[in-house]
Amino acid sequence: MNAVTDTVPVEGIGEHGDRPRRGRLFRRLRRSPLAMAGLIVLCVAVLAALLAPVLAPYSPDHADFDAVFQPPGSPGHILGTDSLGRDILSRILYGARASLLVGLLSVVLALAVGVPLGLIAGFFSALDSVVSRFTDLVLAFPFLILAVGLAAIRGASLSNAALAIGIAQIPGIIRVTRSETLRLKSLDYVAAAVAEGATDLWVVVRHILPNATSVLIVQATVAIPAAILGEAVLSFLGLGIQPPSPSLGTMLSEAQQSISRAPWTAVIPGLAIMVLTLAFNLFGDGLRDALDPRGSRR
Amino acid sequence: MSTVCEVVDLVKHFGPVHAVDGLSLRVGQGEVVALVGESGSGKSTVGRLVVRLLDPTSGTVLLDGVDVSSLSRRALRPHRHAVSIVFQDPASSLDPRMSVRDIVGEPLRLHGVRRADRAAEVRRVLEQVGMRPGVAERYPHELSGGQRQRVSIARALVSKPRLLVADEPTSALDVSVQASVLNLLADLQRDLGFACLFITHDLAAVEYLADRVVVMYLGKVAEVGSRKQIFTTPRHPYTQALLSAAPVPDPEAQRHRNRVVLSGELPSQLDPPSGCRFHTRCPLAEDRCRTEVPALREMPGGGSVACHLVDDRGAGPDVRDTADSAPGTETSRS
Amino acid sequence: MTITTTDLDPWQPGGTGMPLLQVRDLGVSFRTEDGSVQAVDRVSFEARAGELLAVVGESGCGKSVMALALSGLLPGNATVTGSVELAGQQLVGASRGDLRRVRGSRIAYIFQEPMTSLNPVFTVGRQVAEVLRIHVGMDRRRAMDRAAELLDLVGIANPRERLKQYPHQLSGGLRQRVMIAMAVAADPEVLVADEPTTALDVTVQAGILDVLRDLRDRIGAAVVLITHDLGVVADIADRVLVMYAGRVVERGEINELFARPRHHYTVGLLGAVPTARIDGDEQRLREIPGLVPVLEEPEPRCTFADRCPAADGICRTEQPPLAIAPESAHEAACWHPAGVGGADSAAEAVSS
Repeated sequence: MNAVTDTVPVEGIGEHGDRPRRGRLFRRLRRSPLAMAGLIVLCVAVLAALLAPVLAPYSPDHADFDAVFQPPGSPGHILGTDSLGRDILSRILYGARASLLVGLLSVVLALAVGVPLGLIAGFFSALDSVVSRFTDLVLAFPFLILAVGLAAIRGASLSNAALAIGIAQIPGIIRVTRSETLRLKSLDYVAAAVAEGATDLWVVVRHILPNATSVLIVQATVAIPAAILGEAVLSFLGLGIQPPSPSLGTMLSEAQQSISRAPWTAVIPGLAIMVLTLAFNLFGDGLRDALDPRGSRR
Repeated sequence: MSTVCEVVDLVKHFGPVHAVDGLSLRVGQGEVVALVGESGSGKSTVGRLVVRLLDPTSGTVLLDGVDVSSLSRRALRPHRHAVSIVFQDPASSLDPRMSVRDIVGEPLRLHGVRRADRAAEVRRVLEQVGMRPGVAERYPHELSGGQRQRVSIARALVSKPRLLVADEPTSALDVSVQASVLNLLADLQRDLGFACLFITHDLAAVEYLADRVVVMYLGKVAEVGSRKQIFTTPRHPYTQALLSAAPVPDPEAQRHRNRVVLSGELPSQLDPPSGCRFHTRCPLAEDRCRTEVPALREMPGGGSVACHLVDDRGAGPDVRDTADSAPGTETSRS
Repeated sequence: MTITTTDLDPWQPGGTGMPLLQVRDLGVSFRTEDGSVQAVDRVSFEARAGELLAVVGESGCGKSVMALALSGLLPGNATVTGSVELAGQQLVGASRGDLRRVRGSRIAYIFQEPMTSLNPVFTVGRQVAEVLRIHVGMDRRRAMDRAAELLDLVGIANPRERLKQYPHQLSGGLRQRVMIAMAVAADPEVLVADEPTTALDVTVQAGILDVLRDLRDRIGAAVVLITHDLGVVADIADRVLVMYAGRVVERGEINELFARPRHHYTVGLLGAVPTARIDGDEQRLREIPGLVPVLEEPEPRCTFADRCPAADGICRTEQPPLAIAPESAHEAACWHPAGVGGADSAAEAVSS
């Protein structure tokens, strides 16, 4: 019928080669030793936190008044003990668990609220000003006041910390989602879908959202360390996790009094916070670079 | 010949920018109408208006007699399958997260066709554009520019449209790839019989593909004619200048041509010139051209032109006669 | 066995003046995350005073990379081999200081996108004057006067007023003229223009081509014009270099090359452009099946063989040298060049 098939072009590979996207992503990640280090530390930390009940030599609340303020390296307590004789290693494991949990919950909350709002703001210009003003409002509200207020209403707890931090992160997610939506909206394949008869909902869900995920993943990865730090601050101030529950923040708070006598009670949780935060940040940076479509630069 | 698409007095202003200012054209059954113009002519805007990606400021677009320009989005949906568009940039016209099968099948899916039927249709149309069925599993980044344009065309044709709007479909491709896409369009158009609005600035492609030509300048129509008329006896000075400026890959012919170099710069769409919009750059402009807007008049023998210097019988000056034939002596001075 | 290309371009009519730029076996390879890429493979040519040499090819042929390699403008992951001699001075491997002195004053560039080449926060006059002050050492007043002269030289009306304007106040065509003025300000020996008219409308392009042609005649520089547009080549080139996959596949004087293309890629390229056809004559555009290969290393074979209608065994195993046709200096790197020995009648389809 038509002569077109005579001139079928040799089905060669496009400019980027036949390798699947995921393989390319990992290869590019491997380029950066820092990012890989971050990833490894993260994996170790997450595993350790998940397996805390298995790995911890003691229960985190188990107080041993005969072994108070043992320095690190003491028999039975690799990282030493605190003022109540509780094993620091065990408390770190459970504390990291709590921090990661808060980090995760708050980011999930921020995404659940921020992404739809960002999509709406970016896609429907009529609603953009409303959402953007709302975003500005939340941004302007002081985070700590919010946390204090929540603590006053509901009592301080882990979930409160997660709630306060999550709310504080919503504006950032809205902004990123909105700008990504604006950029994607102008691309030809979105126009093609509209020309085919797609509804707005279809376009947003099937074309914009999937293409925004890489940016959102990076954003989430970078938001978690902020959340961890936030939890530490809140718990330190007594607005989050309450002692005796272990949390990196409460450990710091309790160590205030004993810092000259037993510095490790403060230094070790501090280091743990730092390592976790750094690992997430390095990995997040590496992930962002690896996902950057502009390719590697030497 | 029955009319598939008719555009009447189409106007589109983006705030103060006058992109299209009163355009009318007709595309008949099985006809290829080329819409030619340079930057600022408004031709791409026209393409998007016809497909209702943009809403007109005023004027009507009729598809098979139905006024689609005033329908609501919902009422428009059943008509969407009748007109399709192919875009210029192969890099951004395909969703990078979707496989070729999903991309080409999307129009069908939007109209409720079931998966099994969709797969068969996708296979059929991929074969029509000259690609092996295995390409359905691929993703856009695995394809070359030419292959992506073929996928774009397949997507446009899968819903069996009455009208295909091709917005600079080959401009972003290499010359040898352009050839295969142009050949493809010509073959498909001949075999499937759809009407085509071919938007481009490439006169060579127009000459290869078009039946009729509409020349636009700064949002208005300068001239309309059959391919033969436009290329052998262009009437409007802008058309003449355009033809003389387009380089031809033949050194002998090129060096002996009468080349016109237009003076001045393209005026702004924010503040189009009074009277005939071309008068600021036209070597033959008279006083009347500065004050009076020329009407688009039909010429005996077909075609129409909007120029004061062309009389009712179609006779008029040729800008190319005023130009020096030896290149190198023309400079652009306003 | 590796084969190097022929040494000197034999003198041929149409090429006036002495060779200002001599390129021998220029090679460029890039280290990337996906491995290495040979972008340019042993390219040799001469650019002569008062002559316009067009370098033609499609994407992936290496023409732009080659242009940047001439004065060491490539990024750090590029390795440049071979020789580039600018009136006797070797540029490959030259020190950064030497290259900086050469750029802008002896080799000047014009790029495709005038909007990004001009600094938006300085006036046009100041940018042109800057070239004069840095490379020619003029003082401010003299530089401004000369800048006005240069704007006039490239056909800009009311140059004195234009000097005070900013880039955003000029149209694309005018900006490109300003770029050209900046490029010739220091009286370079070689002018390299990389797709200077691709981003411009056809009616504006004609004016820019006139400017380039005018300059070639007036200032006697060697102009190297890089383009993919065969119409532009036909318009102003004196000699043509056709590149494919990093190599020169054909080289010759313009009328000769268009009338009697030798290499099958050139034949394909010329046949792909829709040209004037007699009414009713349904001529199909010539297509070249397949895709341009991306080579990791130079291969000892003809890189076009997989897509060539006239290829056979030897084409896939031996790299053809750039051979001189007996009666002219028209060269093609092909074991079975078109039109010679009846290898293929494609030449007739092209010569109008």
